[in-house]
Amino acid sequence: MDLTTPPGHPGEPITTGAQELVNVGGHATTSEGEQGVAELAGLEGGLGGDGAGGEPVDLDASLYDVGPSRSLAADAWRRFRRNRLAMFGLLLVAFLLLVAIVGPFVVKDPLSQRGLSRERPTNQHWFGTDRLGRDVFARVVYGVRLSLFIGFVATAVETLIGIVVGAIAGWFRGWSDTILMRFVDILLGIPYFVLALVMVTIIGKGLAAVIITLAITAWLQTARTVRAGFLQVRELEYVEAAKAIGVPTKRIIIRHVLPNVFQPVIVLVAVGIGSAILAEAALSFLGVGISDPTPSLGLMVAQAQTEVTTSFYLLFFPAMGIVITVLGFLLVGDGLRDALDVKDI
Amino acid sequence: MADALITPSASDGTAPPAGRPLLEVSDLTVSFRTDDGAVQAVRGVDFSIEPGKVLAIVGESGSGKSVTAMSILKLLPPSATVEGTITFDGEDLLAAKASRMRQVRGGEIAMIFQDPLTALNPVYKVGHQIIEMIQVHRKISKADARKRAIEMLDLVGIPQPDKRVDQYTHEFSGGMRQRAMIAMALSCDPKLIIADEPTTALDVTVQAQVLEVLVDLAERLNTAVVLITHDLGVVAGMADRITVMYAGRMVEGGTVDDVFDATAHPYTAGLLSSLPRLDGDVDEPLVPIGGQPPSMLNPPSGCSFHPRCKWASEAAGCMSVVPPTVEHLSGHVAACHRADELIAAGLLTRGATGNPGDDTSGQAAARAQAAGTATPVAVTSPREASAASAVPLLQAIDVEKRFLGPRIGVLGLSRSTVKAVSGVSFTLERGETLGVVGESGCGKSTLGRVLMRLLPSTGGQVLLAGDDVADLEKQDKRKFRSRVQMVFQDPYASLNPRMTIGEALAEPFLIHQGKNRAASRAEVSELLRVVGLSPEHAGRYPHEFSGGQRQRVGIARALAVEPELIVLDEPVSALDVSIQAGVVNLLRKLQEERGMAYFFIAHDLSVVRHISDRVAVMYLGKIVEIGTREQIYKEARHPYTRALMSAVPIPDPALERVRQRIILEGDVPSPINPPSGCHFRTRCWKATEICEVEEPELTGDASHSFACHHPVETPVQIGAALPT
Amino acid sequence: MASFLIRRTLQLLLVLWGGATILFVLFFVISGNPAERMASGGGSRNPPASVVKNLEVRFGLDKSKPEQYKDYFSGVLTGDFKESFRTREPVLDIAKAKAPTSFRLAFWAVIIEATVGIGGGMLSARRRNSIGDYVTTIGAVVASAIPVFVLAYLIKQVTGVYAFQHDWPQWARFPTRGLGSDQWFLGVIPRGDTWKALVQPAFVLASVSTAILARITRTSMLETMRLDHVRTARAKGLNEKKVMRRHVLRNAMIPVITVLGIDFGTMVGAAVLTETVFNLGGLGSQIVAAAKDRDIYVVLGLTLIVTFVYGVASLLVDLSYAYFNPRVRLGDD
Repeated sequence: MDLTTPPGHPGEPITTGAQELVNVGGHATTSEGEQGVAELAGLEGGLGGDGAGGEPVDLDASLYDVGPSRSLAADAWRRFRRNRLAMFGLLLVAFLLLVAIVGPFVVKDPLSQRGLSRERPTNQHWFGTDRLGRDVFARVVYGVRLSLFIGFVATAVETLIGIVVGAIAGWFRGWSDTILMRFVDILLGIPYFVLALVMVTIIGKGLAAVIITLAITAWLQTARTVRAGFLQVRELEYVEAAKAIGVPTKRIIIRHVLPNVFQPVIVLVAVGIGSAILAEAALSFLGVGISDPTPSLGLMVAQAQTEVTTSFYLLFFPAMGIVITVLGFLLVGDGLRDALDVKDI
Repeated sequence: MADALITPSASDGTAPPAGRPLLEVSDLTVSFRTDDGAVQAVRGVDFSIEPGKVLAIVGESGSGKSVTAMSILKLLPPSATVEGTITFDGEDLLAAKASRMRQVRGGEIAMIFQDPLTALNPVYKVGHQIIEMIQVHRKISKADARKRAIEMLDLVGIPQPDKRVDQYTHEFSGGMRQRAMIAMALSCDPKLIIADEPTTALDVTVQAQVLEVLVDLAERLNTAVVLITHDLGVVAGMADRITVMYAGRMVEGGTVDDVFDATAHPYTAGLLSSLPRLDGDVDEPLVPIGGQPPSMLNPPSGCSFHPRCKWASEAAGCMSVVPPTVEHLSGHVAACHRADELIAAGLLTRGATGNPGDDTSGQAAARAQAAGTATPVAVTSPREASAASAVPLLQAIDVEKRFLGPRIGVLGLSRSTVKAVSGVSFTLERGETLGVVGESGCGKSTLGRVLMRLLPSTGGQVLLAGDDVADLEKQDKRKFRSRVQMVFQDPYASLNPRMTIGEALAEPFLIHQGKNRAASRAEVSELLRVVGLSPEHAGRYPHEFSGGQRQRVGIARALAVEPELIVLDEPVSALDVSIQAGVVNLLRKLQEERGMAYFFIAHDLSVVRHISDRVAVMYLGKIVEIGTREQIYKEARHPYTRALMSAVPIPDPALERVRQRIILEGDVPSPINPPSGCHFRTRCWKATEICEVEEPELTGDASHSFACHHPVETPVQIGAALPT
Repeated sequence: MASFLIRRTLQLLLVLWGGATILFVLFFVISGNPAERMASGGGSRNPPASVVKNLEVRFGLDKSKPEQYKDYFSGVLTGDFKESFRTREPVLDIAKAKAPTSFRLAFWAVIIEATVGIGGGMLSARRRNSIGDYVTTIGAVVASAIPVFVLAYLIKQVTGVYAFQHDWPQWARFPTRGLGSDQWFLGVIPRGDTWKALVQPAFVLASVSTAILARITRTSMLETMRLDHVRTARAKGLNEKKVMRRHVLRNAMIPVITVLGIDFGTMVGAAVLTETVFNLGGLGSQIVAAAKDRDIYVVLGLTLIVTFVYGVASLLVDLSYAYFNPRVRLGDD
């Protein structure tokens, strides 16, 4: 076997490669990766009633045999847990959430200017102090808190908009689809960051403006994804079956379609929080986002740039704050993508 | 047919007859590493094939037959471990170097895959892909290779090969793609071709063409063929020898005649008796193999087949000891502990596996009567008693369904329309089954969905008990939905993966009776029981079930509202053969008990024959012939119906050997641009000028009508050549 | 093919027109008096009425909205994007002055992205689960988590500061501001010491997209490798190199090319952070500067131009599809 299986061979451990080999049937639309192994092994048949004792075997009893009960979510979690990078990301996110929740009770007032100016890291000020004598550690903790807040709120808003628009376009199709999707195409035709700058020009600076800007620029991708999911799922036989039974449209959308287009949205949410945090930092860095004295990590990096040669720590700690936060969410997003077997995002 | 085309495996101890086998596989095992541990896909397979012969490897999904094929050319992914010996032309392939394997692949052993669409590269011209192969194995110029490619395309019957050679795969139809694959496989004069389900993805008339091309060419070029398939009918007509596989093991092997007529393994016997046939007694119920396909992660101990075997016994060791492969006749081997007993008792011959005490005889009589007289079966249900018996349950009048087709013109502003269904009329009585057959693109599924009002019709009327369905739906959609139900084709797509079986089955009760899940628990349990599942399954998700089990859940869902009519859209075509019979029998039993009518859509004429009272044949959106089962299967008048029947392989080697086929030319034309006049004329051997200009109307009497200018006059004779 | 081309071009025009209209509405209809906002310059709340009045007359803002819309877009069609209210410089001139730097930077960034990204992705896919694969995969995630401006400072800190402080050899010291002598051969090939100033911003600009592209390449290759036609290619007896080159790479490159084209379109107009940190006057940083000043016509005009470039880039991507995908070329869309 050795020589004929070159290194580049499709080696996704059996789940897909081998499945095709073994299978004849047209099991086209199973989306879960694990399904592959199951099909390969003819696992669907379950235990097949081994070791049945008595002489006359009750054949139809084996119709009763199904595998051990496990939900799709449990399967996904099992895959996620096996992914070490993803678990590391989850750990980072959990840690940052802890910092954001508990941190404010522990650290000094980030706005207090009672330290010495530009003091290097000491026992008193773990991350040193900035030009105005504010404690950098406290500012980073509050900065992470702010980043998470902005990331969560902006992503929540954009996901909601995206789902509603995508669902309308994908379910009703026709004119509403054409109009909505053309609108999305047009907005996507403007480079993302330029659009954000335009929005900031119009709305102004400040926390609310940043959140609105991020939400308004980010929903496009979600809408497209949800629409694509709807277009695909609405043609599936179980949706037809629901229609055939007479299930009302509202219930079909909520019970039959939405739950089945959610996997990519979950991935988008995780990645979206990361990108929102990154974008906020960039806007604040450019001076069009959050303004002083609110402790934003991006703004702190911007303020450190003139002093970077002498006081590197002023740049380092807030920058690490951004990197770790974003990294956490991106890793979780990646892990979810693999665990939920989402493609094309 | 020579007797000893295959040498018995070495373990049998008999001396090999004259003539060295071309390929000899012995004690082959293949296992895959997975996250859940090693999976043994193949667990000891022996077979061999002589030059120029055809060996069929038969098995259902998960039997390991494709893995076996892939392992010969070492095309398995790196997670696979292959053991045993594979000797090709005296050379041990498992020990061969990679460079040697590359010479073997394509040059000496060529392969044909199941789906010709994905097996060819979409970004290269078809010719380019053949030339590429020729140039790997032959030191010839590109121009010469191209010439050879054109020759090969011509040889497999592709029209205008010099033009086709420069086209891409998406410009080829399904049948042509598979012909191109065959051309490619033969282009370097291999000694052996491995064909892995080469016709499974094709329509039945195209399947007949492609198989003919393959076997004919292989014979002329003296190329041996290993044919991997799940279809015993195909095997009967083509193979010299058969190896039957089950759960990764060979269970039986021998000449075609031996395996079909002197069956030595209960699994093979079970497969044969569960297969619906175009000939034979239609009122004899199919005998399914009970149980479910085995799990390869946790294969049964002893004989893998024992959990599904009627004759498995502890005393014989079926549950604990792996049965050895034993030779029963010369060159006929089987792996069954009780084979000798069973053969001696005549239990494995066809027809003997049926349970004589089966209570379907009454049903059979009723059906025979229904079929013979073409009057509706008088099954009374409470609902029907009140309805006027003169009005048919379902009446379709000139039903038409158009779809928007591809965009036309440079700007794509206008769109063509495609008539998926046009001018279809028929009636369906209470308790009756109308089978609808046709190849892909004939509009049969669309028609089913129009009847269900899942798609709005664009013309004509559908009357349910005399009331226009379009009005009915407007007035009381829910009421309509409780009278007509549907069972879908794909058991994997027809259940919502995020709803438990219980939730899915409770939904009809919620919609139609306002009962919540707790209130409908008893009904759900009863439904599960009716379709042969356990009430405890209500809490499980669809992915935990096998295909056959899922299809039963789909049937239960349709039954929940106690409909008068069920539209069955290819309900068994995605299931393994051994599972199909069980579902067909369930459907028959339910109809007998509950008296609903079936609109049974299928592409498989033999399945339709087993369940229908009347049959309609569709071609490109139109019904070309409709009549009672007897009329269709005994005296079909339309050439297309004849061709369809002729293309269906019959699992009977003696019959298949003498049988002549009507081989239609080409593929089903695209419904976007159907031929003028009679749509079938482009493939019809009787077509004349009138067929080109004038579209034939349905003519005949009330029970049997057909749309043809030159109807066939002779009665159906399975195996006869072109009728006149 | 022709109909495909025409359809795509029309689509592009529609997107451009729609984008312009949306921007116009955003700037001039729903966000209050534009003259007032310009006059406030993002700073003082209440600009003097005379200044506002002046601006209104100068830019025709006293006319009705439909007239303003007509005015502005008939100007745009003839290349008149009005002018900066600050410097009175025509917007088109600003764009002309800033565009070359943006284009050159984007050009080199895309070249880096293509080489490193595709190369890394391919290696990663071919040696799946090797150390190299893990390094590439993890490197890609980390690279996309580091903000561009942080990466830029880190690099500047090493090559621009540390190198000078510790007497590194001359070739290892890099300027960190501007484009040096800014001399070019054939428009894009740096001459003299310009390359030294170019190389750092180009790498920084390419960083995130390179990481993403590496991952896309890897996924695409792995997906393609398990397609049936690749198995057919092996079954034909092709050697592994040919299987990869002819049957995997070409098919797998289709999504990769798309991303490259789109990235180029984005980088021309949205390299804001890189341009800011390395003090390169490009289109993106000009938009930020104007946005801060509420210099509406500059923001609007440059955004339109940038959107146009982006649109043309995606059109070119579609054209390249035709080369890679015969279905598109043959109009079977």
